[in-house]
Amino acid sequence: MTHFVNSTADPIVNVEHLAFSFGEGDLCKQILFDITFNVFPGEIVLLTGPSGSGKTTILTLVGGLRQVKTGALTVLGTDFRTASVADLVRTRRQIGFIFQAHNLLDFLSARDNVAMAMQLHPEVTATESRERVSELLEMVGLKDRMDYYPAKLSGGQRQRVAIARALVGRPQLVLADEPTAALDSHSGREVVELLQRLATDHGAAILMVTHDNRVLNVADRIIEMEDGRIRQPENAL
Amino acid sequence: MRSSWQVAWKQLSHSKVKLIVATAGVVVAVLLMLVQLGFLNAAYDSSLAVPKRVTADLVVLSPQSPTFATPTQFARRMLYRLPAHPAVAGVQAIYLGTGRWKNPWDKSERQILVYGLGAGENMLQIPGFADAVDQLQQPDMGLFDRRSRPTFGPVSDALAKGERVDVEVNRRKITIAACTEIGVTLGVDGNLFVTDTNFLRLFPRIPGSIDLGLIRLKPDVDPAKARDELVRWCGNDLRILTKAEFIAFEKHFLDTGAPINFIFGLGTAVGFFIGFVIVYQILYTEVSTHLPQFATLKAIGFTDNYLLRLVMQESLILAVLGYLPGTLLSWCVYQIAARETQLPMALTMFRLTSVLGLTITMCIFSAAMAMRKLRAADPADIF
Repeated sequence: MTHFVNSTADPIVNVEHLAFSFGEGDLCKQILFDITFNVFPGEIVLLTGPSGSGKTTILTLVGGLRQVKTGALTVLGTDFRTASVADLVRTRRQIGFIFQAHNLLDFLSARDNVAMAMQLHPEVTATESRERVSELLEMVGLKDRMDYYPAKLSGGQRQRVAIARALVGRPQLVLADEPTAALDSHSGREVVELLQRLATDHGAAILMVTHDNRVLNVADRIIEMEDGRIRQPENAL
Repeated sequence: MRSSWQVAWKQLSHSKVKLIVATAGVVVAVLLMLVQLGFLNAAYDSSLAVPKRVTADLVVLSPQSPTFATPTQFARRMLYRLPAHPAVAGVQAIYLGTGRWKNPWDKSERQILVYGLGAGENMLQIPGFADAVDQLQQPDMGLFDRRSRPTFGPVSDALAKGERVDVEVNRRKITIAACTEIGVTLGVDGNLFVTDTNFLRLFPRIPGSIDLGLIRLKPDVDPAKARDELVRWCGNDLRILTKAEFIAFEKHFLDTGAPINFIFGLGTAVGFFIGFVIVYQILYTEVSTHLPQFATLKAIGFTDNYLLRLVMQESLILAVLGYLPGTLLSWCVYQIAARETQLPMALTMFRLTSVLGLTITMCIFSAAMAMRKLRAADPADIF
């Protein structure tokens, strides 16, 4: 890889001996066993593995969407074991989420969907926020469709709006779940390059779940999951 | 897109049909509430119009009369005893009867309330009575209330044209000398004022029985004190009230003896409920169809409070959107109702603000109910 990974800095994501299970008592089903890994600024880490291996659960834990029960998890300097709900919400505002389902608001245009995320960053002026919205939509190739409603956009275009929404707040960490699954190879490639640029230019860390072989070559590291465990020793540490 | 109000408005206005339906729901609610409350007030105002025209210091009724409008008769001599008391300056006997008025134009018959005003100082303020008193003292003359329902015939128009108006009341020819303006109630369609002598010509009855007595006290006499002394004189044979007590007595009858409170109160409640259900339904659908999107917003860092505020703002937008046309429509209904019923229908500032308050409360209730669904939006479910 040509870009710079700062592995001497504090990791953006620090996972140690993380375990997770759903349900209680007899119905308790353990999903994750003894997961340990770090993600450093500027790094692109892929999570792969068969479905049901626990990749998405890791994303929801790192994203602060589920409560950590066993093990240690620190994201952007916040210890998720002890964090209050308000702390979690504050941390989530610094994370860019790209979901498999784009979940755009159907009553807002592409521009407004992206602009809405800027309401989470009141410190940015209205003018700058407008500029960033246009800039990002241009970057994802939707310059001519900014005022279209999601219903008038193709699946790939909607996914790109969702990506713009995730990136407009200049997140330090991007969590992406199959961001290219709904895209053709050309736009899939563009999205990946966009994420790569974000990592290079802004030192953001990217943790991405993917099955897409076409994007494997942008990864700094690949974590392979199987049955809730990490299969191979990590190759870049 | 810097404010949640903008988001709320865009969500509401995205589907024009939904917006129109929701607004129409609020409009109907506002219309029903304003019109029902308007009728309720009109019923009160009109029924209290005549009691408020009493200028006497004390009012005398039979203890059996539930209201002055449906009186039980009592002996005139009991009233005429009262001037013997040093505090009493004078008394006036009032006679009341429901007569059959034959409309001279289309020959139809209507019931009309006839007031017979006794001699002496007139303590019931009837505009125009004093001016026409010389004519009214002639046999078979009457003063007609021009705000009686139009079914009594174009009496005041004919008088204005200088025509002579002879009508038939209780099979007796009565000549209308002039018109006054009093107003009708839900139960009374028209009013006719005559002297006591003419009244007894129209309504043969046991001599010396009257329906209402009015008392003028000497200056500087405290009405409440005088009433207490007079009550001691009369025992249980008469009900003696001060002017304020008389109005309160009539109001109490309307509160308890007539179903108007219940009927129009129920109408108002139905309006409130219709608006509540429609707004709730619209907001609930909006919330439940957008649950995954709202969960996404929560995931990326929007708080529960933000989403609650969004729904609340949508309900407030609907309240305002529906209130304005609803008020305008109500105003039209008031005009039509006032013309058709001759009831006093006034869109008062107080009623406008109360209904605005009710509308906002209604919408907030709907939003609060619809919000319960928001808790189901779990950001962990969307990956």
